[in-house]
Amino acid sequence: MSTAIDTPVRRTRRRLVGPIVAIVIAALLFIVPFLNVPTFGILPNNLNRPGSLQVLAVVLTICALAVTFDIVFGYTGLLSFGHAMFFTLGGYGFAMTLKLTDLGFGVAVLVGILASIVGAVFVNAIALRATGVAFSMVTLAVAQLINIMISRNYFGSGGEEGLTLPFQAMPTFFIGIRNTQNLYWLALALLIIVVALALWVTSTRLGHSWKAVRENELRMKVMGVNTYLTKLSATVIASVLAGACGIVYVIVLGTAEPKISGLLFSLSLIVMVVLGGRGRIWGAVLGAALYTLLEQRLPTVAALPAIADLPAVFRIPLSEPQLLLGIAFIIFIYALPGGITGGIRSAIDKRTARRQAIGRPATTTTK
Amino acid sequence: MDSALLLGFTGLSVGALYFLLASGLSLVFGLMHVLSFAHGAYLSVCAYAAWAILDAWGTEGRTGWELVIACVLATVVGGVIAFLTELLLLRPLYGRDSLDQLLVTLGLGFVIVATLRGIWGPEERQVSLPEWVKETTALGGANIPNDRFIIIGAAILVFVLLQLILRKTRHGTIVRAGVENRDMVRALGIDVRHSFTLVFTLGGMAAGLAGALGAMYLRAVQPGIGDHFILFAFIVLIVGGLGSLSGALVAAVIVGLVQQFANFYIGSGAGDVITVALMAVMLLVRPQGLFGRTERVA
Repeated sequence: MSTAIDTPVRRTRRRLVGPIVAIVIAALLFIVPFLNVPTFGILPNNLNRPGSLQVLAVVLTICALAVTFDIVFGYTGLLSFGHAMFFTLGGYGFAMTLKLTDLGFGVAVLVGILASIVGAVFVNAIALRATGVAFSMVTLAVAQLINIMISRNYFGSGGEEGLTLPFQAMPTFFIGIRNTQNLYWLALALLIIVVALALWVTSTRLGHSWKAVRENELRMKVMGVNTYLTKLSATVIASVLAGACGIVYVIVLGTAEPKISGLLFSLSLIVMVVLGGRGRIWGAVLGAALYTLLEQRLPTVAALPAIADLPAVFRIPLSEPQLLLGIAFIIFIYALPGGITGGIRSAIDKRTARRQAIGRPATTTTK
Repeated sequence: MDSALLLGFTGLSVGALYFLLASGLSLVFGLMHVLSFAHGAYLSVCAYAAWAILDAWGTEGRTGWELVIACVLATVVGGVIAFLTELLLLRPLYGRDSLDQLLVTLGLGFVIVATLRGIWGPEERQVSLPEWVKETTALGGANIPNDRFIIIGAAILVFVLLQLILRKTRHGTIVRAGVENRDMVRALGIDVRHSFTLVFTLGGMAAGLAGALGAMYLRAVQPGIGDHFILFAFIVLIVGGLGSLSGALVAAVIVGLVQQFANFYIGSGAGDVITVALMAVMLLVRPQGLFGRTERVA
C-alpha cells in the first residue's frame, strides 16, 4: 500500500461517487409520497401527507431557484439584487394569463416562459451596461418597479392580496388535496432538471468562461473575450430558468403572492447561496433547503408549548428564522466563506492530503 | 395652489428623511467603498427607541421636550450601534473583498429587523405625539402640518453640521481626502481606518435621527420601516452621486418632490415608479450621478 493514492482505478471510482449519490438522493426523494413515516415536527405531519408534501414542494422549488441564482452570483460573480424578478415574471405571467384570459393552462405556461425570456434579455442587456455596485443597483431598481406595479394592482396583477389561480382552468391532476403528490413530483422534476442543466452548463467552455470573468474580468478582456456577452449568457440562462421555477412555484401554492417580487426575497437568495457555498450547485440546493425549511416551519414549531413557555431570550430567536439565519450568515462570512459545502470540501481535501502524506515514502516528499 | 404647497412641503420632508439616511450611506460608500444595508435597520431600531420613549411618557402633560429627547436619544442609539458594528464586524474584514463587508451589513440588517419583530411583533405601533406636532400652520393658504417643519429643519441642521465637520476639522479633511484618493492618504502615513469608524458612526447617527423623525412623520413604527427608507436612500445616493453630500441633498429634494407630486397628480404608485426609473436611467446615462467625480465631498 505504499503507492500513491491517485491510481486511475481510484480516480474513476471517485468520479462515480457523485452521480451515484445524486441518483440515490433523487430516487429517495421520488418515493417520498409513498413513505408514511413520522417527521417529528420537522414537517406538519407524516412524510406522505398532503401538508408535508406541499411544504416539501415549496422547498424543492426554492432550491431550484437558488441554483439559478448561484449561476449568476456564485459562478459569474454578479451580485444581483433583483434575481427574484424573473421568478416573478414567470409566475405572474403564468398566473395572469390563466386568470385574466381563457387561453388555458398550456398557453399560460408558454406566456410565463416567454415573459421571463423577454424580461431576462431586456433587463440583463441593460443592467450589464453597468458594472460593480451599479449593476446591483440597476437590478434592484427594475425589480422594485415590478414589485410596485404588482403591489398596486397594475394590469390586474392582484395587488397585495395576490392572484389565486382559477381551479377550473387547471389540469385535474394538479387540483385538490389528493393530488398534492403530483405537485411534489412536479417540483422535484423541476429541481432535477435545473440541477442537471446547471451542472452541465457550468462544466462546458461557456461555464468556465463565467468563472474566469468572476476571477478576473480584465484579464478575460485582454485575452480578447467579449465579457459583456459572457455575462449576458450567464444571466439570461439563469433568469429564464428562474422564470420556470416561478411558474412551478405558483402552481404549487395555487396563488401568486406579491412578496415573491420583493427586495427581501431577492436578498434571501443571497443568504441561501452564501450559507450553502458560493459557486457550488449542491451548496445552493443545501442552503435553500435549510433556509426555506426553517422559514416555513420555525414559526409553527415555536408556537409549541415547549418553546412558547421559554423565557424571551430563548423564545425569540427560536421563533424568528431570519434571526437565526442572519447570525449563521454573518458567522459563515468570517469563519466559513465557502459555506457548508465549501467546509465539507476542504475537510475532505485535508483528509486526502493527510492520507497521501502517510502513503508516500518519506524520501519523495521533496518536489 | 394650496394643495401644491402642501405637497411641496410633504415632498421636502420626505426628501429630508431620505437625505438623512443617504448622507451617511454616501460618505460610507465614498470612503469605504461599502454599500451598507445595515443603516436601514439602524433606522428601524431608532424608530422603536423613539416610540418607546414617547410611549413611556404617556399622553398627559406634553410640552414637546420629550420629542427632542427622543430624537437625541435615537441619534445616540444609532451612533452607538453603528460604532459597534464597525468595530466588531467590519474591521476584521478590511483585508478582504468589499463584497464580504456588504454581505455582513446585509446579514446584520436581517438580524436586527428579525429581533425587532421577535420582541414587538410584526404589527404597527402607534406613536403618541404632542398635540402641537399634529396641528397645522396656515402658510400661503395651505395648512402645513407642523412636523414637516421639524423634519426639514433637522435635515438642514444635519447638512450644515456635516459640512462643518468635513470642512473645519482635521478628521473631516482626512475623510474628504480619503474619498478623493484613499491610497494617497494612506501613502501619506495617515490611518484611514479611524476615518472609517468616524464616517460609519456619523452615518449611524444620521440614520438614528431619521428613525425618530420617520416615526413621527408616519405616526407609527413597524420592523420593516427602514427597508422602505433605504430603498429611496439608495435612489438618492445614485442620483446625487456616491460620496457627494451636496449631491445627496439636491437628489433628496428632487426625489422627494417628484415622488409626492407624481403620486398625487398622476396616480397612486406613479411617484415610486418614476423615482425608481430615474435611478435606473441615471445609472445608465450618468453613472457618477449629478455631482460627478471632480468634487465628491463638498
